[in-house]
Amino acid sequence: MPGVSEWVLEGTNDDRQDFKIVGTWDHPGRQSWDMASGAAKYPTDLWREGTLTAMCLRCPYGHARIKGLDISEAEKLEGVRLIVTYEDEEIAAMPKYVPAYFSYGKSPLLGDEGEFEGDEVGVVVVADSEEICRKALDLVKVDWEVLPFILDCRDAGKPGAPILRPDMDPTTNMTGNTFGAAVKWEIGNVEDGFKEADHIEIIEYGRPMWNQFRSMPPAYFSYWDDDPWGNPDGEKVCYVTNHAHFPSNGPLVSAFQGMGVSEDRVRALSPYMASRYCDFVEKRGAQLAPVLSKRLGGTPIRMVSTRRQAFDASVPQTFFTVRIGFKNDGTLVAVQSKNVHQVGARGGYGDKTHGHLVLPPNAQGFKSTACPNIYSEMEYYVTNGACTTADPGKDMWEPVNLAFAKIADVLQMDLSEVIMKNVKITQPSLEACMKAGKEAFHWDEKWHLAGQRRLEDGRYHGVACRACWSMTWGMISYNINLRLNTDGKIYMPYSEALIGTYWPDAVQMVIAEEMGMKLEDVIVYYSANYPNWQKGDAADRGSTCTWAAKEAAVRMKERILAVGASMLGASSAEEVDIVDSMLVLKADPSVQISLVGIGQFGEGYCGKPNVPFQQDVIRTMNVDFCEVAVDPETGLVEILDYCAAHDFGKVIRPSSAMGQLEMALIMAEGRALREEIIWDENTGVLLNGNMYDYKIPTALDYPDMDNVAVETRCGGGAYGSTGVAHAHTNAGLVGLAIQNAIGGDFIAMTPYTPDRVLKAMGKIS
Amino acid sequence: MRHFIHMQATSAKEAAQNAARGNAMVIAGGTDLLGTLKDECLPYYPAVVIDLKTIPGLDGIKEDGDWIEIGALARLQDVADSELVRTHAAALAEACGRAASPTIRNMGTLGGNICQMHRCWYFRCPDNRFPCARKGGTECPAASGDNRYHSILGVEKGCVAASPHDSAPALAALGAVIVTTSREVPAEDFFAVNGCRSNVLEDGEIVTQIRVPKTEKSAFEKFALRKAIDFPLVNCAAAYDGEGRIHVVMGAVYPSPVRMEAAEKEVADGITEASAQAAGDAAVADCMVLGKNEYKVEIARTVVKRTLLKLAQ
Repeated sequence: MPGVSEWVLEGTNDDRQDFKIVGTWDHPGRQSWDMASGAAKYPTDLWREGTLTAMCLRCPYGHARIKGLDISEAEKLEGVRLIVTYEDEEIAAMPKYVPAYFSYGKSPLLGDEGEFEGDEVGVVVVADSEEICRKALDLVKVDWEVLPFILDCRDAGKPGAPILRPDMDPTTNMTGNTFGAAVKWEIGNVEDGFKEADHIEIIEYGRPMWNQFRSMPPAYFSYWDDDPWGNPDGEKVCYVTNHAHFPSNGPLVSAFQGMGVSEDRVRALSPYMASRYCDFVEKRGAQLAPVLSKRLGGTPIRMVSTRRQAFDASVPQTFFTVRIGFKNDGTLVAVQSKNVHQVGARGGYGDKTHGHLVLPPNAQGFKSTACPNIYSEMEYYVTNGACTTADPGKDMWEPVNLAFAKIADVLQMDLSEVIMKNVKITQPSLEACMKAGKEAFHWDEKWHLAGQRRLEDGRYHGVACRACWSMTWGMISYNINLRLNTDGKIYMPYSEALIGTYWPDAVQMVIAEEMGMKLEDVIVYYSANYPNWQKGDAADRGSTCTWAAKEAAVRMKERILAVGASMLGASSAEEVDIVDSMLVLKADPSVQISLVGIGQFGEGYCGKPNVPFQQDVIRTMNVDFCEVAVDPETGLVEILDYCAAHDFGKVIRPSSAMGQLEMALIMAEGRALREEIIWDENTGVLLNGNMYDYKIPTALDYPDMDNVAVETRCGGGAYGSTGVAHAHTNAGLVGLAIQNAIGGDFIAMTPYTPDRVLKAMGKIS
Repeated sequence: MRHFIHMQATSAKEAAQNAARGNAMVIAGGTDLLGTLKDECLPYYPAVVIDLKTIPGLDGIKEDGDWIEIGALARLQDVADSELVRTHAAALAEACGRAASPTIRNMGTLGGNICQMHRCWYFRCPDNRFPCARKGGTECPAASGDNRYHSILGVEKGCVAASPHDSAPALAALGAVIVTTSREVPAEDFFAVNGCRSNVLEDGEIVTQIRVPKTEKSAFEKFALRKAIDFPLVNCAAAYDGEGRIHVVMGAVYPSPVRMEAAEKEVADGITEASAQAAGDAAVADCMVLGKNEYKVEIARTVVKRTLLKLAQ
């Protein structure tokens, strides 16, 4: 075993064993019930009397600027209520919202430059219906200046490439298409490492753009109405839909940037938003809807997108080329890695701006190995391929595992052994995951050298495994407030925008567990613009929110017991307890009273686990296994079996935890085998902006899954819990299994479509 | 979607008369038409949409001697589930059962399936972004663009789209006849590039029935990237005719389904592993691949072979 990172858990209750609610099944949570039953109200479901529809002009070219506009005919159309253009003074003064730490190339809320085909640009129309909006937009006469475009970030760095953003910082501008010099990182001495190596190989991994809004186009709804406090200054309150789970209260921040309105003047209408993957993507509609509504005296505005328009947000391209040196025993001794990464047309959300990626992803991954000599370099380029979200980092594990697979293939070693030999881990997480996963997957029976096994139906059989790990992401402070009401129930407000996460249902269980309440006596309810998140980064709900909930529950229980002791005639709080929502005398449990009417108390906790951030510390591990069948005649790949052995630290809500694994693996299936955003290379026009041609998995494509929950209690959240899903969505594992099936080189680009597989098999040129 | 007049037809004749007046389109299951209207991908937009579902008696599946008569409004799932079709036109039953998804199969009709427009992503691009040769333009953007799903057998009237119908190869291989309000057309001749249409229908002409000769043995294979929803990358049907000859028709390799006579010759003396392989090779011998679809040749070769081996089972 290589190095083991060390860290200290402080107060995570990682040794608690007597769980009554946490970790148990069959608790239909409020959010889960709403979403599964269809009761959840999404922005597209909202409607009020008099609601108007708003739509933006969309750029029809890969890159273009508006030279002139004539909206006179559109304004005459019956049913048109308002047309605003980029020349509007108020709009022009409002930048499109970006996170506070994002400091590059801000985009105007409604500019004159279409940065990609489908970009919202120049004009927004408010009308009685969507149909009238579309007619009005058709009547807008636009004089376009068509500009050069770049779709592949690798092209943006080439000499002679069109300069997309000449306004970028000239002192750091390498080619005119990036906003800073390459990020470099090194430990040890790479050249010495390669001299020490017995083998030197080159590996490549690339991913295309993936769609961000997978199953529902986003929409935004807003209106202004009287302040419930009254309107002494005539100022109204804006009601607006939530649209981003990051940062806290997305609409509160983004809707009012530039409007000079304080946060108390806004109410988030719904916790639900369009389904999406990962962070960010502050779309213009979220900001424009309240602005347009205010212009029209508070009239409800519904800003809608078509399915195709929802493809204006994507996970970006990223390409790795890595030179690796390793010894005959499989030990990695040198890594020289280069990563070319895509950002949006104005910088998007690039790695340098993303809090948990202070290192380029390739370095981030390899530094968690025992390799002593690593040089990593990352370049990032603007393109016209739709605004990109963050999410550069989760693929950091793909070149690392590709390196392990390459080593295993060259040395004819068992891949799992190479992983165990090279990963620097926090014990006992990796060993536990590897052991549990190998057993569940029957790895020892399935593993073979590349190209060595065929199935009875003639297809090639391949397997692979991949280790990923969660870094110290526990850096969000959560704000949890609890109230004991006169009805004897505990109430907790929340307002965060919800997508696939189920943290309200998880914290309900933690609070009930910690306080001794029945689960149904803990009420988690939606409270508009209550700030649950204080600051920090994403992907942490499973750990830090439960941590804060636990701490708040502990404090609340102390308050109740202090009062309850005297009510039960006890001399101190230590002599009483809460059991099934009843105040109980420990010495004689038959002596008990209800919490109903004992008083009203409020307690809260705002903070996060006391764990370090971005040290050389690994939180928990996961090891995924994949079994594929490859049709030798058509190149079609079928995933026969997936197994994710994930160390949750401690599972809080099993149905949510295991559901997250399944969802992530299903997403991985699509990304590995089919998904990519495709643009016409001649025009820059999006070609597959629909659910026929952008091929997410159908129910029939879901692979078999035998997932395993590992609980080593070494996470940073309550009871040693930690987060779940990101790493499992990576596509590369399937590529490793394909190579194990067909032999030869690893396929360098996802998705692993028949054309690429046939080419790898030498069937086509 | 824009407003239009929704007319509920009471007879095929009435529907045809109204359709012939121009600026009208017909709708049955609507699984294809509504998408085109939402996306406004055509160079025109109908003022009137004529609903055929209100025409009585057009959704039946019945036996007529040596023929199966399928009303144009028969839903794809009903055709797939029909014991009559499964027994005497197995390729058609399987083709209908492999089309789209369960939801769509329970809305979409057989008549709609053979009348659907091509799925070329340039042709279907919203707002008629690419006014191609099918829409009055002069060029095919797919020919020089991203043609990974397109024709591998050349150009038909300036178009390189791939035929999208799953039922079409089966109907053509089975020797079916398409009955319209004005004529009867052999299925083999029914499909063609015809403006925005994928068949030879003229304005005001409506499919009313599909007549399929009974066949003891027929087979269908489909290759798609997903197990549901997807249109075929390649599909193929093979069937014995009344004289014992094998008909092989491939779809999604050309704008219209293509009868593969060279492949048929290879299996004229019987289907073996070797003759089926030879038939697959023959089917793709004259391929004219575009920039990004060479891989479809291998798939087509395999699908033809597997269809024939299935037929021989």
